[in-house]
Amino acid sequence: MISQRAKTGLEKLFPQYLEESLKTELHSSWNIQKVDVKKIDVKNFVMLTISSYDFRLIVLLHFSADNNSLKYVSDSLKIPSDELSLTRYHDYLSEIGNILCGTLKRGLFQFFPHLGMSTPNKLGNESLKYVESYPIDHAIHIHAKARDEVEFFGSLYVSSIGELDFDPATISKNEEKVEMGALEMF
Amino acid sequence: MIVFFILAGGIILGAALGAAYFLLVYIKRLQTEWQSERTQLQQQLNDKVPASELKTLRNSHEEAVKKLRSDHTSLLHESEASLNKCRQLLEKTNRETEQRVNDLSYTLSQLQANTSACKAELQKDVSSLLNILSTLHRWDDEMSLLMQQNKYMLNQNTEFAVIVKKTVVLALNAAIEAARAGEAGHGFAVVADEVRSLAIRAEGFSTNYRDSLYKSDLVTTSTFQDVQASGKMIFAAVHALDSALNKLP
Repeated sequence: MISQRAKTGLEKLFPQYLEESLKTELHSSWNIQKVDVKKIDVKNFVMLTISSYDFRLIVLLHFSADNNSLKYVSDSLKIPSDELSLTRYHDYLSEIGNILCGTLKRGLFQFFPHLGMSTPNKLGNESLKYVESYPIDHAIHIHAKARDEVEFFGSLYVSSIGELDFDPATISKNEEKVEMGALEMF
Repeated sequence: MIVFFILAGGIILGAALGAAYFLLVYIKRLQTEWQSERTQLQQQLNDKVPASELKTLRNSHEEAVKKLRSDHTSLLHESEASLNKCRQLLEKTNRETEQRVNDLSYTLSQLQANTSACKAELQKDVSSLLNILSTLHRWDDEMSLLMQQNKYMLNQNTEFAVIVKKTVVLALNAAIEAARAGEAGHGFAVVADEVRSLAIRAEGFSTNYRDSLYKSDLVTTSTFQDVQASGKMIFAAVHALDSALNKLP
């Protein structure tokens, strides 16, 4: 069972963490909006999990390999677009997902000291509808767009066994700060 | 002469009357002073203890002093007795406390010995629990294999779906060719229809199978991630326990 204030906290923190994870020199400002899951029309997503005794959080970063998204990644890596392989593109987005999930984990760590985080995996969007087959207590879907050209979607699913409750007002500012490139280590 | 005598007599009488008046005033004043002095003397006389009571008072005072001396002496004896009792009690308590301290020291040393043995055993167990990491890695490898297998099956199914689609088209072409052949192609048309029907069923089966594989892909990945994340959580908890144990004196 997730408390109302925990829902409110995640709805505030998740978009903020996603924006911080996507920010680069060229794409420093993102327009973030809540979106219906049916509007997520992209090819793939990166999936990560945060596990605790009492709950499980599933974090998804939805993306397509369109020209704008590829250019966003090649610009971020400071390499020419034609040198960006699809594997490297996927690796980069996996790292974005890693940073997003790692920041969320660190934010929650002060309330739940026993947390573990998975490595990212890429899945096809055809599998997305089956996430709903899990006992989901709360879901957040957001759309992030920068410079009116590149867009990603983020989803957070909360599946709780015990009680998931925390006061978002007490999350320290340090925990909210995202350190780019800091991969979640074992 | 008579007048002179009368005047002289008058003057003498006046003087005598005046003198008498002043004398009266003086006497009155003396009377007041005497009265005041008398009152004071009476008061002083009232304040003094009568001689008859003086002896009684002295006797009672001597009695009181005697009693006080007696009380003081008995109190002194009582105090000394109490002091002796206290000394004895203190000595007894000291002996008992010393005995208890000795007992406690012995118990403490035994406890310390037991705690050290338990701590060593616990450290050994926790250290060996840290080997859970290898189990987690094994799960990781096995789950990765399962995910790879899933992807392989998805690829196989995609290939199968292409073949089925081609078979449907082929069966349709065969049916068209059989129709062109007229009566001679009747038997072939039946076979072509049967093949087409089988191909359409195979297509439906392939679609369902693909959906199952997508679901399987998600469930496998999700299970893999949950196992991986929970494993890290358990490992971190055991590691924290190990660190806490090592900090114990």
